[in-house]
Amino acid sequence: MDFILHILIMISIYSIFAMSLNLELGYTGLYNFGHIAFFGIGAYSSAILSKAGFGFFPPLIIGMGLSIIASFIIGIPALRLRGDYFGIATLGFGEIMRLFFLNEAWLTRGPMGIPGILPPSFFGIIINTLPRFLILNLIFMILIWLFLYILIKSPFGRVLKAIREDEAAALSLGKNVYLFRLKSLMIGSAIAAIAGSLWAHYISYISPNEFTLTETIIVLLMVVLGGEGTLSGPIIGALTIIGFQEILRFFNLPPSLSRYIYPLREMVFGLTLVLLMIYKPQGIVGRRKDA
Amino acid sequence: MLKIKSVSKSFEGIKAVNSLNMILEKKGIYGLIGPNGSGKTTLFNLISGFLPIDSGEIFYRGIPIHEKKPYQIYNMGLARTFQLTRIFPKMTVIENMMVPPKNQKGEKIFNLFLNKRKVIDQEINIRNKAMDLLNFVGLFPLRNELGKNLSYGQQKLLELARILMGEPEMILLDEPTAGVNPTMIRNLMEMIEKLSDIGKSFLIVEHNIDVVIELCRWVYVLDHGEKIAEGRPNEIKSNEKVIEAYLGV
Repeated sequence: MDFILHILIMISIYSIFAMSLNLELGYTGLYNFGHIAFFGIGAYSSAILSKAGFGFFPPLIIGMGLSIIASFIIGIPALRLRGDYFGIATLGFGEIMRLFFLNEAWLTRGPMGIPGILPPSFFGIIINTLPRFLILNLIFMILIWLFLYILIKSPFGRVLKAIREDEAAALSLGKNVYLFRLKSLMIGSAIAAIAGSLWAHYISYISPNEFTLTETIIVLLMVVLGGEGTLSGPIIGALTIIGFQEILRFFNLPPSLSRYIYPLREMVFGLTLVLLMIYKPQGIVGRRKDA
Repeated sequence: MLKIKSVSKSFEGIKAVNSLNMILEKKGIYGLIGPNGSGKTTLFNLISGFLPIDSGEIFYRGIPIHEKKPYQIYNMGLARTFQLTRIFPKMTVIENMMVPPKNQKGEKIFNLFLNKRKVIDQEINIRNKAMDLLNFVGLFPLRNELGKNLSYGQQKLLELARILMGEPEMILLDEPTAGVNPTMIRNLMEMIEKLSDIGKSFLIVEHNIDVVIELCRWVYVLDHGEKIAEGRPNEIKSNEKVIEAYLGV
């Protein structure tokens, strides 16, 4: 039972993370390969500040704020670049943040990581059991889904989609493409920070190794597999990928074999991503007319 | 309305537009013709802010626009279409239509959550206006179809209807009849005339000379980035320089 709860909690956290990337990738056409950095900013903010006694919500909000500021700073130069080059710039930013977490030991304890992150507690409630974690995460997931739903169905979302479809046309129709992209990036980053914060509280130990390009690739796969540019796609994607990862544990593989499994898993992910892009770019959910 | 003052633009040493002067004073339909590579589309890109000019000035209703961004120029009432249509393929026809209007309250995130009533009211207005315009161009029955499912001619109509959503005063059309069947060309010409009657001005790049002669009150002819002639369509037709440029003799 605990194992199932654990899987559901991971799915809910990754759903939030994937939804944030989906806003940028699926709805705005931004290939952000450094998205993990904003997850990391949220995780570290919550880890450091909650251990310093600031509770749950203030560190969460500060993490979101820092994430917004960071995305603003990286977005201003990077969004002047087109398509692939934006991807490379954000990839660089992701690496810079990982190195920051690794090297600024006075703040982050460097490679030792931060252990003993307290469970969230607010208004006298302590989220210290699996069912409570799941409920908290589901509440966040639903609120964020609703927020994104309103955003995507609004004139704001319409402009984002127009930019994704044809940047020059959106520009020729009076839309400040640069500003809309910047806003999308900032909102996506803030939501990624929420996911990071929830994750840090749940896992209770974070270290720089968790914030690598591989994580971005996994969440990218969730978005593409589930169906980019659909509201429920990222959730389906998170469900599928986390499910796949966890099912591997059920096979009682001998240790001699299991050391090949981890690298193999990444190869499977990479291959899946390539095949999806080629054969089924619309993902599992597909992009419905109204999505 | 539109004043182009000794505008030049080069690409790697080749002069695409060479100290060009054009003054479109009154409202009406103007034509812009010239052989392939004569700089017509480049000129459109310069006017609409998609390319920076090397030298010269461009004024729209007395305001310099050559340093403005494309979105600012559209919002000032000067709109353009593209040679190959640029509709939003995975958005419905009605969604395509609802993108352009300026000052949409719902484009501000703050309003979505704290000013909902106003956003919804405005959306209803914009939707109604879009329906009217779709009726005008005859795309109303296709309003819920995805843009990519439209025929090329229908996409051209959608593009025209879509720029009208922002209520431009002047419209630059880049080859509106290219790739469109003759019946549709007739429709399109009638629409342009109707729009001209209600006060919209046009500058049209067009290869179909019959269309130019029938629609335009004044025609400019470009060759190698320079204006080689201007005048009434019938005068242009018999102008020696123009015949030379087209035939290459």
